Parts: sequence; C-alpha cells; structure tokens
Amino acid sequence: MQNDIDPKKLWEECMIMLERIVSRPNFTTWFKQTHITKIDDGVVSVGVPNEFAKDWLYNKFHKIILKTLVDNSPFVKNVEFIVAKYDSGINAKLVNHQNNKNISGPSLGLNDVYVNKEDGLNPRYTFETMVVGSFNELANAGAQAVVRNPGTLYNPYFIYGNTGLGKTHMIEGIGNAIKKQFTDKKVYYTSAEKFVIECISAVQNKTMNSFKDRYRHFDVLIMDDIQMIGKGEKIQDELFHLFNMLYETNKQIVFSSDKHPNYITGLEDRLRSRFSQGMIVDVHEPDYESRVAIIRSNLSKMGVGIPTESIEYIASSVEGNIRELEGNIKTIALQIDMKKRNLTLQEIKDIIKNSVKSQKQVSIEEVVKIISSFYHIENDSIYEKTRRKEVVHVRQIIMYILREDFNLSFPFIGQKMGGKDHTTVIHSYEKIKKELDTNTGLMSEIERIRSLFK
Amino acid sequence: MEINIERKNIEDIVKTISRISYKGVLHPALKLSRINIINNKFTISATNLSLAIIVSFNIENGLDKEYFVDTQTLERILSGMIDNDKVLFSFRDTYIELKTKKAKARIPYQNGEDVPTIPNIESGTNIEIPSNIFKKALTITLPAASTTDIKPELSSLYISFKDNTITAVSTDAFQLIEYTEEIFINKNFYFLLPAKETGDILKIIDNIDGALSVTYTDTLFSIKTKTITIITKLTQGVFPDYNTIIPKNSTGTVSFLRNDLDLALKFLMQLRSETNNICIDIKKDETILTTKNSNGGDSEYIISSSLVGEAFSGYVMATHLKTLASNIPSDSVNLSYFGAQSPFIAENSIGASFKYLMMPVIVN
Repeated sequence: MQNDIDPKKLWEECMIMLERIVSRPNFTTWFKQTHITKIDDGVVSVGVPNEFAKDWLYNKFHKIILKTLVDNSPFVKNVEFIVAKYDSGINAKLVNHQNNKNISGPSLGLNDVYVNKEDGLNPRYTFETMVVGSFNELANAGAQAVVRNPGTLYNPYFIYGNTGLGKTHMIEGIGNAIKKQFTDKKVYYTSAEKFVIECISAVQNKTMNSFKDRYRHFDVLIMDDIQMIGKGEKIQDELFHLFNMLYETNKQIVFSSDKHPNYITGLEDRLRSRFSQGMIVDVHEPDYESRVAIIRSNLSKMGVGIPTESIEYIASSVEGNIRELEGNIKTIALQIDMKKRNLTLQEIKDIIKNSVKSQKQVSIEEVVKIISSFYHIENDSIYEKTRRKEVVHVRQIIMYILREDFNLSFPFIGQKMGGKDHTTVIHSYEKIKKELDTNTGLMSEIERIRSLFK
Repeated sequence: MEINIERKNIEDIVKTISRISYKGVLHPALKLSRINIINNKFTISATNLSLAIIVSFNIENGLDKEYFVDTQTLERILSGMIDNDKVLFSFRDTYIELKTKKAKARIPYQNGEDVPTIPNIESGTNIEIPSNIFKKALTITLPAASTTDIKPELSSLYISFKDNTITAVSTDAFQLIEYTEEIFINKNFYFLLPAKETGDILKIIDNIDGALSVTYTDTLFSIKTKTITIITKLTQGVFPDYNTIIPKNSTGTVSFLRNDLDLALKFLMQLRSETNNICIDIKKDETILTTKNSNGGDSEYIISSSLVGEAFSGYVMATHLKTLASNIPSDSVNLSYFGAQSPFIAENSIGASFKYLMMPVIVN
C-alpha cells in the first residue's frame, strides 16, 4: 500500500542503486544532500539543496532516478524536485570555531527559536516538550482544558509569572495543540509589542481596515507579554474592540504576562476586567524535583548525558528561572561537545558558579557567624590567633567553604579571617578537601551547613 | 574564429570567475569555465553550485559556439602574458590559442557534458538597490555569521527590506550584529544570504558604484551590472527571532573612541591569553583592558572613557572586540552592560544604526 512506504528507507535503497549507476563525482556532487520530503499520490518529491541541483537533477538524472524509485516501489508514478532544507538528523549543536577553543560561557538564546511564518508559532513548543511539575501543573491543566474546548471553557485564558518560567512555551503549546486537533481553526501567536508596532504602522499607512480584518479572522489569538501593551489609548481601544469581537463569536483568546492583570500599570479598567473574566493562573519558580526533571529533559533533547551527582548539584545550585537553568545546560552541553568527553563535577561547578545565588547574598561575617554557631564556637575566637584544636578545625572549614562555594581568593580569605597568610588558607582548604574524601561525617556536616545558606 | 580582447579586461574577468571555480570543488566539471559566443556576445561563466558568475561583453564578430576550458589554466596563462595590451583568441577545432607578440599558448577544450547549467532567475522580482548601502550592510554584518554549516541559518546573513529600511543581521550565537539604514525601496521582502557566498560577492562588486539590479526568488538571488551577473543560492530556513534576546535596561554605559580601542587591541595582542579573552574594567573616567597568559606575561592598556550609570567589568573575546573596532560605523563606541549572564551591547553614536551583542566569557 502507498501509505506503508517509508520515504527514508526508500531513498536509502535508491541511493545504494544510484551510487552504482552514476559516476562517483556525480553521485557525491548531486545526490549527497538529497532526501524525500513527501510522497503524495505516487509522486515522490525529492528535496535538493538548491536551485542549481534542482535544474541539473531534472535535466540529467530524472529518468534514472524515476526508474530507480519505481524499481524499489511500484506505487511510484513520478518524481519532482524541490529546494528544501536538508535535515541530517544530527543534533544541531553549535561549535565555536574561533581561535579560542576553550571559550566557556553562555550563548545567546537563539538555538531553538524557529517560527512558522503563517501562525507565528514555534513548532518546538508543544505540551510534549514541556516539563510539568508542581510549579506549573495548574496552568498546564487549564491549558489542556482550553485545547479540549477552545472558546467555551476558559476564555480568555490568562497565564502570568516571572520571566523565564515557561509561559511562552505553554501558550504556544496551546496554539500548537489546537492546530493539531482542529485543523480548520486559524491560530495566531503574536506578542503585545508586535501588535502595537503593527497597529501604529497601520495607522500611519492608513491600512487600519486590513489590519483589523486580519486579526478578526483568527479562531485562536494568543498574545504574549500583554504587560507591554503600553498606555496608548488608541492601541488599547483597538485591543478592546478586537477582544470583544473575538469573545462574542466564541474565539479563544490566550494571554501571558509577567504580572496579574490587576497589577499591570497603565491598563485601562475595561481591559483589566475583560482579562479577568476567564481563567487566571500563575506559574512560579520550579522546585528542586522539577529542576531535576527540566535538566534531564534538556539533556535528553541534546543527546547529552551527565552523572546524577552533577544533575543534583545543578538542580540544588541554580534556583533561578528555567531560562537560566537551560542556558547553563546549553553551556555544559557545548563544553562536552568541544572536549569530546564528559565534564567533571568541578568543571560543572565552574560553569554555573555565576548562577549560584548564595554568592551574592551572604557576607563573610555572616558565613563565619553561621558556621561558628553550627559548631557552638564563639564567633570572635575564629578571628583570634588561638591554636585551640576545636577552633582551628572550624576555622579551616570556614576557609574551605569560602573558597569552594564563594570562589573567594586565598589572600582575600586570609585577610578577612584575622589577617592570616594566604598559604595558611591554602593549607586549610587542601586539608579539608582531603579529609572529605574519607570522612563521611564531615561531608554530612558541610552539606548541612550549606543548607543553612539557602 | 579569432577575437582580439584587451588583456587586462579578460584577465580580470577570468580572475573573477576563478574565485568561485576552484572553491570546495567536488566534481571535475566544476573546474571548467563555459565560453559562449552567441550573437556577437562573448560570455564566460562558471559555478560551484552555490554561486555562479557570468561575464559578458560584445565582440565584433563571432560564430555561435560553446567551449569549455580549465579555468585555472586560462587564468595562469593570461596573467603570464604581460607583454601586450591585447590577446588574440583563436578558437580552433580542439583548442583555444592565445597569442601575444612574445607569448603563445594552446589550451585544449574539455568535455563540458557535466558542466551544470546556471539556473534562470529572470522570472523573479527585480529591483534596484544602491550599491554603497548594500555593500556596507553586508560588510558590517558578515563577521558575526557562523563559520560552520551545522545550522545554515546561522551561517547566513538575514537581509530585510522593509518600510524603506534595510536591516542586515548575522549571528553565530556568541555574537550578533544588526545594521539598519534608510534605503528608498518601495518593496518589503527578506532573504537569507549564505555567508560564504556573501564574501565572494563582496569581492566581486567591490569596485561597482551606482545602482545594482537585483532579482530574487524564494531560492535564488542575483546581482546584475553591465557586464557581470552573479547568482547565488539563498539559505532555506527561518532566521532566529533575535529581537527577543536583546536585553533591555542596562546598568551602565561607557563611551570611548573606536581608534583608542583599536590601539589598545594591537598592544594587548602581544601577550594575549590562550583563550584569547580580554578583561574590560570600566571605571568612571577610564576603561582598563588587560590580558594575561599562562607563561606569566600580562599587559594592560588604559583608554579614556566616560561612564553613565554603574561601573562594570567582565571578560570578552578579543576577536569580538576586534570585530567591533573594525566594523562600527562611527568614531566612538557606546558599550552597555546588562549583568553577568547577558551580552554586552556596543552601539554607534551617530548615523545608521549599528548594534553588536557580545556574550561574556566565563574565565576559570
């Protein structure tokens, strides 16, 4: 049956035959980046890398290719050539080919931002690629309900939360899911900022009618970052009328924002009340378990694996938003790719150290206070020149934590700890580090101390 | 058939053709140039399947025929014939004979059966573009494009014409350049121009002034002048939505002269680090740039600057700073800071809009 034809397998078999028929240079030049894009009613569409190849394959090899296809599948009637992007199936990891192969740092968050021109949706943002946890499960449940009953159940559907917590992924997920389930529905994703620009442009070019017509034909309108709608009376007026038109004809409207509608400054009351008349849900920062799940999901997508110990370290250290977490994961994946080996825990710590919040929030004096209190030692004795064993041990632990977790320099630590020489600090650090290899009791104490800084 | 051609002209033409003829060639047929003489027009062309160049000029007489010769051989022979202004081309049965007063060469024809035809783009949309603005936009943005083919969209320049503005953007995910300038064209369209081909195109149109006749379709882009036609493939795909990653609300902006940055970089490169990064430390009235290498060497250069907002510091790739110094279209640089994980943004002070995002380097 035609529907059973596997395009990839068919083309692989054809390529094996074609490689024997045409000369090696011809095969390498013309066939290398070709693939079957679709098979429709017996017509095989062969994707080629550019127009040069399209012309040549058609003029020179059309008959041979068609014969080869027919020999491998009797359902093939014809072949056409179209210029199409070649997907090698390899994970598209970025490699830095500049002089500095040891670059270590985050990349611009560009990698996966691909947008469908017609509806503005990123096909990668689906419910299947979203990690659901306690931080977003209510919003997710509401989103799923919207997909099952667009325009009737929760309308409008308003999601708010801080930046980088997956709001855009979720609202685009709604769009992609509705598109899949209701193929006749016109879905459109845009941002409030883009809506404002288009509206202003329409006013200036006297094309308001076509601007309004365009938006009113959508069955699902998804507007991101609605807090950016601004204070412009004309813009809010347009949005108000558009909202009413869509709502009254049971078209689904979805908004996202960084804050609850009641707290969006400059928003007219009539819009505020309309945004609130459907369902409002929030997303908040992921908890530890959710962060572990997000890390695992991202690593899996990139085809990269790191030890559980490293995953747990990242999850416990990077408490910021999901975007920050994913940014660090990308950097780690890039390093693994460049070094062609897994990273050690220390290397991972070095990469994410700028994301570790406690670095910025706790002073040295506070660290000394917390640790000396933990060991029931007088705070002042840490700074004194005493050689009492119990004080020396605690002082060494403090120096170790200041170096390991706060990345302070040895001389600076020495200076702050009562004018000690940096070699003393180095000695203390090395001693505790060595002791941790064998002393599980000490390891447990240090983990408990670390939890006091969170 | 015999034709007398100005040596310098034909030599320049063949040099232009040979730029692409030998680059990354997979098939022997791609090493050949097609010489076409039809209706008193002499046309020589070549392609490497990503880019094609066609050069034509009128001749006094000629029989309608087509020949194929090895491009590199033709180029080398012509560059060796320095004794005369004109070269006599004689097209014999099996070879071309090139002759001057002192030199003569016979280059055999090759089998052109496998030389690909160059796609026809005449059905595309045609417009005229001012060459100086177009060249500037490509030149300024080209350095930030990715040099790998892993993601073709990133090894391309995004060129957009919209509302009488040209916008050119490129990025390799660690740096991004956006250039915008007014250009009076009453059409809105955009395309992705492959970076490799852009470099070749710029070399070819370097000396061309005035308007360029440009034709485009979904898959091809061509530039036509009186004698040269360049046709390039366009990258298929969608350019990343880069606007979403441009940070807002900087904590500090420093201004300094581009020339001072250039001098600083030349000085600092002598003792650069293995990872090729430079520390920038912005103070109220000065910017301190430092490098350190593992052999114990280090260097420092202070440039006068003026700061608005909070002081900041960080590490940046030296190559990015060099790109900045070479490409910013103004004498001064405004560099803004948005936090440790965000890119630095360098902008120009006057004229067309230039924005350069550079990701910070984390130094271990």
